[in-house]
Amino acid sequence: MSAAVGLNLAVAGLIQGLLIALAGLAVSLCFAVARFPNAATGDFMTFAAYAGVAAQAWTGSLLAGAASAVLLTAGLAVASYVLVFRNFRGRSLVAPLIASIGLAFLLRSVLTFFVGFDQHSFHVPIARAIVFAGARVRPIDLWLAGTSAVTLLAVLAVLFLTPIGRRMRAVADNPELARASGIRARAVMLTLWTLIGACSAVGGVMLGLQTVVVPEMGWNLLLPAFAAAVLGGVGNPTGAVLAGIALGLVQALSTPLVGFTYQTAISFILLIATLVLRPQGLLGRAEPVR
Amino acid sequence: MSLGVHGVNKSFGGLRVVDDVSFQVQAAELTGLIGPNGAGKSTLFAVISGFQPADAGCVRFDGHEIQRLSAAARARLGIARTFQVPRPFAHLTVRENLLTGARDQPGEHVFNLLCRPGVVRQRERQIVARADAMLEFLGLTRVAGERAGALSGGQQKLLELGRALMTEPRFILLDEPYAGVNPVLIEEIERRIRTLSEQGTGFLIVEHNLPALARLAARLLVMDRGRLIASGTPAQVLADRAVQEAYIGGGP
Repeated sequence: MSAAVGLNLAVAGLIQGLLIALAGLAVSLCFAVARFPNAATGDFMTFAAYAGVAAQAWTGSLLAGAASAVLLTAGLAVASYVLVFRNFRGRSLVAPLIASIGLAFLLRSVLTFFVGFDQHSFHVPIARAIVFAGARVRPIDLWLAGTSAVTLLAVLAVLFLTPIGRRMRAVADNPELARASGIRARAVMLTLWTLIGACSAVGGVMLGLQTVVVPEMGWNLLLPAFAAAVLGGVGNPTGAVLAGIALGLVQALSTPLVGFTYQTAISFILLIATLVLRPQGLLGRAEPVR
Repeated sequence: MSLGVHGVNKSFGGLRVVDDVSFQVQAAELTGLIGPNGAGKSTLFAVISGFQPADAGCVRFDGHEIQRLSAAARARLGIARTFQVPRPFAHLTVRENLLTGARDQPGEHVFNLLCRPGVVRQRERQIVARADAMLEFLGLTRVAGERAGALSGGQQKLLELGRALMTEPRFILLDEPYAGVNPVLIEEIERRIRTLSEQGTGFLIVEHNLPALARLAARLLVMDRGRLIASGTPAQVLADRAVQEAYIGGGP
């Protein structure tokens, strides 16, 4: 492939990677603190995209649409914790995992019941692509990449630089000792689900802006998101972000070799290979010894 | 201020591990809890600190019944506990491990983070200063930035004690604080416990190092096979026939 084609693919891959990183971060946060793989993450994203389209249609502003999507999806995530996942505290991860799959189908059914299967899309002003060293970049893509990167950094900053983040990591590390330290589980879990919702929402709106809004859009991103969470080391949010970006790049750059249709298969192969060969993830975070 | 258990029972399967135990411990009277392995001491600690529900009986702290409170709520009320085998927050740094114990952190609320960053920062500075003083006391300053999982067993033991102290407890349950700690440090910890005790903090200490515990404690409670079999001053208790039989005789 020529350098320009390669560069174009790399740019597309980077944006795709940032999207996967957002979804992967939401999955990884949930796994680290609430201790189960949340299969509803993709449908949180779908919900956010629809909420964003609706709010944009209502207010006429893309920014207001995106902000409403983040607020509503954070609310949805918190509600799903309060109504569903909170009841599985202290149980094995099978029960909440199955419940999250159920929640995923429920969300999609409710969405399609109200909005049908038609494609929707955000209204984005048409602008000329910027050509840089042979790579064509749409201005919207720069916004997508920038917003995704800022969101990823903001979530990691909350996790690693604030007292509530420290408490979240403490609960993730050793729930029993966290109780002995008097850490309020409820405050931690509400913050966790707000972050999961916000992260999924930004991912969903970005995904919707990039292409179109359809009921399966989030579900289709779930496999790469899980792959990123596993590749980065289960329960290691920073690893999930780096792995997500890497995965997007690998998927895009492999397009000339395997074709567009089989992109997702790469995620699947990497996911299985990691689980078999290096279950602690590429960044090698071992689970705490019990 | 006092901590008391009244008619506490706890069984696992068919085995009654804590059998109708009642006692009251005054904060002013540093108390040791001894007994052979399997006597039910750690289980009793778990019941008092809220990690195991009692099958029957009640736990009183400062005049209030607390057996319905969660373990975290009891910790915030001022009852700290350490674990016999410490398992720190392995991925957090040593300093962060101590910081988790500090209470009244405005930064645990998103609202404060966004709207009152000054308050959060100021309190955070105070907490960090307190954690650093604790690190200094425990001799862990050199490893403050390292992951707690990388510490030696003895260092983890000290960190566990420090984390409990960081919660500003009014009453501390220590589960074998001296096990695996070198003798010089044992004296240091002893001094620290004595100082805190004189300042009004209550202590209930499970420890197999009887000479060290006898030096420290004003009163000893003795458990054997789930029951409380003796209580009194260390001299009285160690001279007690039933206690000697429980320790030496062993048999049924």
